[in-house]
Amino acid sequence: MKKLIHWLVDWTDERTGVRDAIQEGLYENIPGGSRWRYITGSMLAFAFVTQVVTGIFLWMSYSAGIQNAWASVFYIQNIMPGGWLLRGVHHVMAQAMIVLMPLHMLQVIVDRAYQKPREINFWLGLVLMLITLGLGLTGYLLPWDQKGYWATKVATELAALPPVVGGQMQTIVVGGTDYGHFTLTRFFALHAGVLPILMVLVLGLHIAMFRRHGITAESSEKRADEYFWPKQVAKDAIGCLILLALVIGVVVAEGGAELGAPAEPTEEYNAARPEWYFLFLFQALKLFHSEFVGAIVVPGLVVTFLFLMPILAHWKYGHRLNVAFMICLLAVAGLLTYLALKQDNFANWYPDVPVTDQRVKDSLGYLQAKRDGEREYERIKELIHYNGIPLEGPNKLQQKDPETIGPRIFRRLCASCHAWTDEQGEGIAGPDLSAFKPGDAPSGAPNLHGFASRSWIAGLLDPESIGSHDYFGSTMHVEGQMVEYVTGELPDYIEGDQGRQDLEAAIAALSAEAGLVDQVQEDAESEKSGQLARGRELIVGDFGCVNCHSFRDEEVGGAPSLTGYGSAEWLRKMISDPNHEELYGYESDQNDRMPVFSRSLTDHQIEMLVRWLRADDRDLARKLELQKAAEEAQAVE
Amino acid sequence: MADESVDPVPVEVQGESGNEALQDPPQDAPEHAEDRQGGARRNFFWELTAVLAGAIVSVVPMLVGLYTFLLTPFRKKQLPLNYEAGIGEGAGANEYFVAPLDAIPADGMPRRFEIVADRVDAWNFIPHRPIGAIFLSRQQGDGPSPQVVAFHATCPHAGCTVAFSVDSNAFLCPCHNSSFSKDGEKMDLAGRSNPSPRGLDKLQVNQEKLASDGEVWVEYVNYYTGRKEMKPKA
Repeated sequence: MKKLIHWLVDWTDERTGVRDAIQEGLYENIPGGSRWRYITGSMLAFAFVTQVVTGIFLWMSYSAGIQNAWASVFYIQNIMPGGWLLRGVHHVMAQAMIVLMPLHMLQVIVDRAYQKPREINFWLGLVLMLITLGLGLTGYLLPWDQKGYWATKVATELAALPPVVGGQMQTIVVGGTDYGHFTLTRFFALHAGVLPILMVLVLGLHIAMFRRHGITAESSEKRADEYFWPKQVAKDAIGCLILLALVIGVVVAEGGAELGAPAEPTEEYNAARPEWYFLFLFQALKLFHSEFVGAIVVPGLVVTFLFLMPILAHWKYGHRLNVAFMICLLAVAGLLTYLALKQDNFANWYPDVPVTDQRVKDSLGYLQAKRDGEREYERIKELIHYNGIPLEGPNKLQQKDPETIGPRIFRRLCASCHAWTDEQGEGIAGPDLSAFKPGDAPSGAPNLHGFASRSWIAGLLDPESIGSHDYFGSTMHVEGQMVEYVTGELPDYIEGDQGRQDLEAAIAALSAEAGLVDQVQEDAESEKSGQLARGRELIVGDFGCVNCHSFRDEEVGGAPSLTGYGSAEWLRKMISDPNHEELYGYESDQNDRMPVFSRSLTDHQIEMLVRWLRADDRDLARKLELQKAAEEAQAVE
Repeated sequence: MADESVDPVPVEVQGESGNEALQDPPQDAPEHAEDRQGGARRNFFWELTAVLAGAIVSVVPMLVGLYTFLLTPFRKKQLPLNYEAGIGEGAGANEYFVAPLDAIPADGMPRRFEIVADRVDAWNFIPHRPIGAIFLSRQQGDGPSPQVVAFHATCPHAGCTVAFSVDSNAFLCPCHNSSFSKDGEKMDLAGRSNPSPRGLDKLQVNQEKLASDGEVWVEYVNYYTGRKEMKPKA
């Protein structure tokens, strides 16, 4: 066996000279011996190779294009066996490269390995750094999620800044005037083709040139020389092993790389931030009044200075200046990154600062947008579980989903008056009424969370809460007949056990008009026990609701009809035409600023809003069950 | 400064081939204190570490990738919950409704029909997607009820799609001249040599549903081409 191997090695060596090559590679002399701090270069090379390997495997499942990009990444992340790990390693290793680069550069500069005759190799290293940043930038867009889409949009807006050619440059990068298929195909070709090939070429030159010049040992007279093999190779390999273990550790701990909700060009994402290693540039933009200066001139000057370092080093104090510059640059980048994180997380980091502080408000806005984004992602995940992704892409699913579209419309059009928040204050905040005092001009409208549910109506009929901001407290109705009735007459009717039961029955009966899916069971039980019948009697009779409101057979003009109160039809009417005579139309001054939305919203949008307010589609499992039951019932007939 | 790329291949060759073949330091080597003090054992420790760590880091990312690449195609496809009672794959049997009996010519002429199914294609779910074609024709049965025969439209030779030619009264393949009679048997037509290893693949027709509801339901199965026997594709 040993003989055979020997013969094979001889045979190959005779034809290729492999022995010499290996010997040259392994028995490179290291002045002063092997050192741990020489390992950064090998680690970077290893990280790059890992990116190539994982990248090629990701490529086998990725599809560029606006219907497919997000869907294919979703598949990799959630369905493909081991896909989350593959994508996670690619994602985290990219960040590891960004962390290692400055370390490598710092080591090179401190050890004076950038000075004559190694200037060109230093410049090659800087080119490698720019290529790596380019890979990071182009890779961020490829999943086509909200985060990548909006962050990259900002980056490509900056491409338009240079004078004269800026506009054309942006058009070329984006592949047209709008983001679309071409943006993805171009970014993908850059990310998986152009930039890696450039990287391989420049890295080859970089390593060859390093070999030519050898290690630049700092004054190390006291330590003996060593060969590259085996100690330095072992140290390099251990460094790579630790790097890989750390990367996999992070991936496992985080459950893979993050994926946001699919990109939606008409729905801006207020928590869009570039990848963390670009945050310092993002933050720097806030410092300069001119974007051109912040995004092009200053970074350009910094890079130019880096390129000039080997030349500056000829000057007496040049080296010291370079070291100082590097350290300052890293410190400033670190500080800017910290500031960016601090601004976004201000509300969490400084819980004592009052909410009225603008910094807290900004931070809360960012955190809210982030939470909304996470919620949208969880929702689309659920939608896919039940419906699959159609060929038209994930947006198609969202457009038909009240839970996705409803809140978007509400935030845009309704939240200027209405809140939609639960007892904990979670949800969509309405106008800020903290400074509102009774007697001020009306400035809000009822909180619509759980509208027409039993608990919502119970709050409306509670003398304690009807005048609060959750109901009529900030509308003109606060001085109207309803509040007068609830705080004046109603308490007399509902004294004692019988009174409370009557109130409960009336509430149940009114709420049953809505036919909310959340209350299907309660409604059925109450119908059976006769509670609903009793409640309807009271609405018409003792409680005297029909003095102002229509209810079923009792048709009166005045306040909004209680027939089908909170039902899909009632809500549709209220949103599209609140001045309908069954609602506020009977007396025209009854409508306190509720706009007519039939002209600004399509029927489909109103439908989405209505179904979301009623929570018709919130629980997809229940929806499917009800649907199956209905189908079975139909089959029986 | 250290840009040595750890090249795992030569390292491994060395580990296997022992010390003498490749590892002799160059003749003009500088004197290395470390080597001279004879740290043969210490050197062995470093060598082993280099080989092991190098092997792990060069193999692990590749293994992760290979795992996803090799396993994904064999993964059982899952229909979305709302479509679990759908057509085809995942919905139990491979039996599909193709057409009502009336749609098949009464004179025994074969007619082509599409098989439509709900399909999962990687990340997409596509309901009602045509997934293949078959030929249906009526045949004289023994009993009073009509008989329907179904043939897969794929040529068993190399997978092209055959067409029925009224002129030749036969199924003709446009690729390599295979010809089949109306009964699906291999046949020789003048001027067409027949390379097909077997006749057209006959598919099971559900006779019960045909007799009771007048509907043609067919068990749609794809078979490997180029073989004498019919071997279903999994």
